[in-house]
Amino acid sequence: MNKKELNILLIRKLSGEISAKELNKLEMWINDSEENRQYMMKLEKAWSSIKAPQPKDMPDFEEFWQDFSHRLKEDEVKPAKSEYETLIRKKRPFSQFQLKVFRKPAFSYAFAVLLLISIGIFVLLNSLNQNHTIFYSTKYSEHKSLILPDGSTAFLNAGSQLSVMDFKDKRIVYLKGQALFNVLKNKGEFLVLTDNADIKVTGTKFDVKAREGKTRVVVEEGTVLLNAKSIGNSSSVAIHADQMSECYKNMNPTSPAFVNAKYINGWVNNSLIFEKNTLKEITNELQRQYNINIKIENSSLQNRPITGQFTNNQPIEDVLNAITLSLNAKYKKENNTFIIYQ
Amino acid sequence: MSENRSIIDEKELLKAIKNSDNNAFKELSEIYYKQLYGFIWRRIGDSETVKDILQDLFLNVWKLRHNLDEERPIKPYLFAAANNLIINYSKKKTFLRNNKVDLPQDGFLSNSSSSLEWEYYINDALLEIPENLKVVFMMNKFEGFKYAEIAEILRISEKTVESRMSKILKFLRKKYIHALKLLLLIFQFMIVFFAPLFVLKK
Repeated sequence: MNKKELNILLIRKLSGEISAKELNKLEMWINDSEENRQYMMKLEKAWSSIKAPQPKDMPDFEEFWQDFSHRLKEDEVKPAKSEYETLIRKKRPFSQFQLKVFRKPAFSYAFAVLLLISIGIFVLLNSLNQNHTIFYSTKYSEHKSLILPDGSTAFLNAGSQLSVMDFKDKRIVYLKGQALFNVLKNKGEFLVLTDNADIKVTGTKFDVKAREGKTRVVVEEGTVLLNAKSIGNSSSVAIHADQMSECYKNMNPTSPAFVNAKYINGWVNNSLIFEKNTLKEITNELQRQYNINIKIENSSLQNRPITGQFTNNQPIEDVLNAITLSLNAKYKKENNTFIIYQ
Repeated sequence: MSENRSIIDEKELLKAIKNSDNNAFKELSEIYYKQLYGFIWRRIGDSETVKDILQDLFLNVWKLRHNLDEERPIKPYLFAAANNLIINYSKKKTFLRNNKVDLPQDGFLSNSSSSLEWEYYINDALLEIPENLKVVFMMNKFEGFKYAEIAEILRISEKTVESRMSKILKFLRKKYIHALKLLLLIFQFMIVFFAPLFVLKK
C-alpha cells in the first residue's frame, strides 16, 4: 500500500466513509507496528477535537419566521415594479371588461363597430402625435450616432439597444448595452431606464453601460441621479462631473468615485479603454467590438485585472498579444475562436 | 425505523408545499433552519448577512415550490442553493473590494474584513486550511454529509472530494503538534507560577 492510498484510507476512516473491506485493509496496516497504532490514535484525537464553531446570536426560529413571513407577504403583494413596467401597464386595454360585454349578442355588433372606430381614432391620434416607440440597435463591431426627437444626441456602442419610449411630456429611453448621452437642457426631465436602475438627468453629458446585470454611469458634465430598482427613492445617488457609480440589482448604487470621464468615454472615438477591468469583462467587450469568439481556458485568469488602451482599428491579434503578454499567458486560434491559455 | 418515518413525513410535507400549504413550508423550514444557519454562518460570519441569505433561500424555495420533486431528498437541494447564494455574495464582496469602491458606511458590506467572526476566538489548525478544502471538510465534519452528497451539492466530482479530504490529513498532523505545544506551554506556565509558592511555603 503506497502513501497516497494509505492517506485516502485514513481520512475515509475518520470521516466515516470507509467500507468494511477497506477497514480490513487499514486494520492490517495498524497492526503492523506500534508506531502505526500511535499515529492512528493521534489522528483520531486531532479529528475529534475539532468542534464546529457555533453561531453566537442566532435568532430563534419563530423570530426568523416572523421576519421572513413579512418579506414573503411583501413579495407576493407587490412584486418589485420598475417605472418601465408601470408605464407599459397603463397602456394595456381592459380585456376582461370587453369579454363580458361581448357575451351578450345584442351588443356584440355595436361594440365591434365602436371598437373599429375607436381603433381608427387611436391610430390616427397616435400618428399625429408621433408618440410611438422608436427602436435603435447596433450589431457587433458597429457604432451608431443618434439624434433623439428632442435634439439630444446618443452615441450607441457595439451590441446595444436603445428604445425611445415617450418624448411628449417626459423624455424616456430604455437602454440595454452602452451609450454616451448628450442631453439638451431646459426641456424637462430625461430618464434612462436599464434592467436594474433608473437614471434621472436634466441636462448633461454622461455614459451609461448596462450589461450583465450591472449598470455603470460615468458623468462628463452636469449631474445625474442614479436610482436602483426595487429599493425605492431613498437609495438614489447623485453623480457629478468626472465621477462614476455602479449599481447591481437589489443593491444600492455605490457612492460616486472619481474618474477621468473623458478617458473612459473614449470609446466614442474608436478607442478601447480598460481600467482595472477583469479579463472576462475585456474579452466580452472585444467580442462585441470585433465580432469574434474568445474563450478563456484557465478560470484563474478570468478575474485578473488589466489596464490598457487600444484603438478599434488595431488588428485583434495586436490587442490579444498585448493582453496575453501582460498576463504571462498565450493565445491561439482554433476554428474562428481565439483561446487564451497559460 | 425513525429514519424511515421522517423520510415519509418529508414526502408528505413536500407534497403539501407543492400545493402552496404555508404551514407545511414553515414545518420544513424549521427542520433545516438551525443546520442551514450554522452552515452559512461558518462561511460568512456576519449574522445580518446570514439572515439575508437565509431569507433569500427560503423565498426562492417558496417561489419555485411547484418544481419541487418529492421523490428526491430536499436536504442536498437546500444546501446546494445555500452554497450558490454564499458564492454569489462573496463574488459581490470581492468585486467591490478589488475595485476599491467606497462602501456605504451603514451597509451590510461594511464588515468587509476578510476574516470571519468565529476565527477571532478559535485559534486552530482549521484556520490554515485553504478555503476550497475547508468547505468540503466542514460539510463532512460539521454537517455530516457523505462524499457523494458533497459532490452533488458543490457540483464537483466525487474524486475531487476524496482528494481534497485526503489533503486535510496534513492539517490534522499539524493540529496534533499544536496541541502538544500548548500543553507544554501550560506546563511551563504552571512551573513558573507555582514554583515560588512552594518555595515561600518552605
